[in-house]
Amino acid sequence: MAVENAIEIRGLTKSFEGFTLRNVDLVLPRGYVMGLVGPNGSGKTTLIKCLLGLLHADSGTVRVLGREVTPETGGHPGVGAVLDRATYAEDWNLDEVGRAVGMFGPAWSTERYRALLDRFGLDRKRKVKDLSRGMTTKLMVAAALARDVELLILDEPTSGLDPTSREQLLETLQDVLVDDRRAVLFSTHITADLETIADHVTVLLGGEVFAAATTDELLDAYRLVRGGPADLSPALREALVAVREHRSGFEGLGPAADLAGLDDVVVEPARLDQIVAYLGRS
Amino acid sequence: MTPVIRAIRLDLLALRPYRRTLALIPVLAVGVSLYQGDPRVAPAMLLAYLVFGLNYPFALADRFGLDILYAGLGLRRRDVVAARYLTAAVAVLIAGAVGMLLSIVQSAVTGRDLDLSGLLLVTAAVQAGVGVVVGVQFPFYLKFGYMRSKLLSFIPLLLVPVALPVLGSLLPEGALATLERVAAVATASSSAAVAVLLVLAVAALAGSYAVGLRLYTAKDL
Repeated sequence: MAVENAIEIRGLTKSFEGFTLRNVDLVLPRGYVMGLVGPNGSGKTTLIKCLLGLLHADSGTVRVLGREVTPETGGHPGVGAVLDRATYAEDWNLDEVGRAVGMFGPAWSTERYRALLDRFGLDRKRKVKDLSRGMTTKLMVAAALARDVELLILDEPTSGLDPTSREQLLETLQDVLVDDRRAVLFSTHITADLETIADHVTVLLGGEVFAAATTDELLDAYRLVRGGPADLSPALREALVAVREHRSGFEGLGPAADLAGLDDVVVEPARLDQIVAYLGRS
Repeated sequence: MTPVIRAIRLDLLALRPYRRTLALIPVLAVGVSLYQGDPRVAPAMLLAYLVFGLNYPFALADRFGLDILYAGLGLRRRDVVAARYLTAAVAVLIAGAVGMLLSIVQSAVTGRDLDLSGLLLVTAAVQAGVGVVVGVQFPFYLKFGYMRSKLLSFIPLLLVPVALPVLGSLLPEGALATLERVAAVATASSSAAVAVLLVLAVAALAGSYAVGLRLYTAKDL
């Protein structure tokens, strides 16, 4: 019987010196893309490492594709990870990467792997150490997708890519999601990518889940407010999540419900990157 | 394919780009053996160089983050640890056999006499030594990684010559006499000595495996 949720995290806490990922709850159903956003040091990579069975949680449970994941169990073989750096032997060529990764996973396909390498313009005889950051990201995506994984976890995959490659990667991810068994967890700073493909967004701030909603709900929940210096009344300042003042006035983010009916200021929909940036400032 | 076999194959695949360097090990062993003029040197040298070869998977894992790859692909920590120890045990046995074969060939080619029971004893002694060395090194590598602990791991070995006389002086006379009697029985014949040495090597690796597994499982990657 198919498992409904690709990821189920309950009460996950993990402490390091100077940082704690605190009491995180997160559910990602199959067939959906979740964007994981937050400023540097908010806990995104720690959360991803827990999902891959790399870290010992202090408390809480992590279930991936219906199975509990801990360092003792190892990661779930149905998961493909695209991390911020490659973890392949740098002297491997891309065929050797395929040989290594192909020993694992539900249904490895060398043909699919080679087709993806071709699609991404990667030469199979090149060595990992000769690839640029963007090429390495594409290689990791190809290796994960050739294993026919059910959950793809991406940690900042688009940050090293030029606009064309970014577009290509996002298209590939959209192709992946044609099959609704699959799910994608996408951690990124480039939130514009998420407006294109994410159904859900989880905002991590200071190691805690600040907001978790569908992308549309999150976009509807906040408004951007702009006005002159005299327009920023104490009541309005109180209502805003965060505000940035400058010589000619102010700009801030607030809950849509609290900003309804304001006449003297400009109230407009906020983009996801603006919401995340202001929430980060708060 | 079992997970341990997969882990061994991953390690071997990681070593593949360095196979030419590793192939120099038997060549060097024979070279030193010819230079020394004693065929019995070949297995000893081969096994001594093997220690560096057995360190390679840890060095590569450390350098390229292969531990994260292995865990991410669904390998359990215990399978990775078992793979490293199993590889070491099999490599020590194979290197011993190959080394003895090289000795026999060298003896036949150079016409030098070769005492086979003496060769077996020397090989077993060096195999036991390698077992103890990697038995000390591996838990350090598993806990701290190769780069951080390659020097640290030699400290216990350097302490052995100091620790043994101290331990001897602390033991009561009765215990010392018993140990001497055990040693006398063990060295009465070369086959008994070989058996004792191999048991020591297996015990060192088994104890080390238990410690290494505990340390590696408790580690955050």
